Amino acid sequence: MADMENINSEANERNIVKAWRAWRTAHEMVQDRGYELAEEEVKISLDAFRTQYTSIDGTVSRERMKFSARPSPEMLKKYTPPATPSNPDPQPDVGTIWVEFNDDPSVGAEAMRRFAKFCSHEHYRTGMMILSGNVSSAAKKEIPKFAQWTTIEWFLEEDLLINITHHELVPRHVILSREEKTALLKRYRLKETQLPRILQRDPVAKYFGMRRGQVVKIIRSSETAGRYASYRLCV
Amino acid sequence: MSKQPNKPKGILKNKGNPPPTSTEQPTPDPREVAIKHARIIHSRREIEDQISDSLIELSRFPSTRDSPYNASNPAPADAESFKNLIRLYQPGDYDDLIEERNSNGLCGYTLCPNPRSRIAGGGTFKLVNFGRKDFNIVPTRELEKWCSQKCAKRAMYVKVQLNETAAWERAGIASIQIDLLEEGTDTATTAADAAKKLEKQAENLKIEALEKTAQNARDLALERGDSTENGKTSKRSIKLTIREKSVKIAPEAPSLDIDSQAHLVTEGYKSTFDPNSETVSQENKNTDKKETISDQ
Repeated sequence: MADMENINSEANERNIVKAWRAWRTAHEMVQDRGYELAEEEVKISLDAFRTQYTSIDGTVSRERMKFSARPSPEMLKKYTPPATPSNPDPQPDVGTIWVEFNDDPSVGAEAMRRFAKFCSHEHYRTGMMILSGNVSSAAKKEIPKFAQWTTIEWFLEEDLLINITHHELVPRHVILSREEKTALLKRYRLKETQLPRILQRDPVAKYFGMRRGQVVKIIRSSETAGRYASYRLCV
Repeated sequence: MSKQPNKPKGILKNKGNPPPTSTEQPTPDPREVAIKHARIIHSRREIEDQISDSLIELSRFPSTRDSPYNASNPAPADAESFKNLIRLYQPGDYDDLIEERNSNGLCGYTLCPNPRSRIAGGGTFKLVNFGRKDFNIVPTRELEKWCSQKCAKRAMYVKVQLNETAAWERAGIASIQIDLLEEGTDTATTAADAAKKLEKQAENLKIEALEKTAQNARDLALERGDSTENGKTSKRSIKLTIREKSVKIAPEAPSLDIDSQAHLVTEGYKSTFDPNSETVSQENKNTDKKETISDQ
């Protein structure tokens, strides 16, 4: 009996650590995208996390793990299309982000629709779902239906246990603003299609929530040149 | 010289009629064309939305879970609405529905009120019917979709009736009806149904055979070069006269005589050898001369 309890508490402890790591990575991701988050929110310690997000019996309550973040002024500037005579006061393409954790073994179309409806109703421009189970194919088909109002993204919790951009083999990725992109294309006399490409489902592109048509600058360290920058177009 | 210089004659074939003038066929307004196509796309989207809505609804089925009704004997209202909603599904959509029901924790067959089965123990594969003739090794994932093998059979019975063609092409066709797997509740009705089914099958076979012969005839006509006009094959207009070669002597079997040089003959010609010919090599001529000298 005592052994059983021991195993249970051990499994529970592992579960808490997993949730904590995913929580931290999610915050880092939101911060790296340019949203405003306080440093103590991102770098939450395990003990603080335990006191905040576990229920009385010691298990993680993922229903409580949710947060929203507002885009920083720089991010808003980066994502605002240039003013044109027909559209003198353009609105930025980004807005508040909503992040939610979910511990259902699998997410169906109904749950996905509910989440997307919630996000579009509350005027969140981006909704992020972090799941412990898998997503059914019908649920994936629900996402493009709400594309007009809100962008739904989903990640598996097990993929967020570590932050991939902190790995030594992953170079620094910087997403270019519209002006920077046009300057780049002008400087090298390129058309968009002549750039190397990066897939939208690439793990790093997913991490930064890249959209089709954006250009990312990849800065690698080079033994001979010190730094080597390359550019990729998201497709 | 001619007074009027003739127009140079073109070598290209004469086109029968001059191209129709634009007044006969007014070019359609591009805006109207665009609107028409947009409407078509819109209606397709609507049907797709309808399917995904019905998928969510069907993933919670059956609506009545009372004791007299079960998977083999579903409530009539449920069965009816299931048949109506499933009509436009493609097999892929049906797979999505099964997955969706499983994620809700239900058996994959839509009219089954039972939860899906959970197989104890790990392992991606499972042995079924161990020690019997129909023994098989099945992925556990497949087994866990259903509450029982019977439900799997019922669900597959529906799936094979679904069509791969796009939903909007089938939306208007009322004759597409989905049947449920008939259960052996009372033998009289099932026997009658079986007879009816057999009749229907025989009819289908007959129609198929007719269609096949027609197709074969068409193919043959195409091969022969018969032109088909309005689906009617026209007779060829080639005159055929068969002219026999006249035979004067009775045919004789080839014989082999001893002196025959038939083996030297190639295609009726026997090659000869002329020593004075220019083509004979110089060496042979020299030896001939020597021989004449020694003789002297």
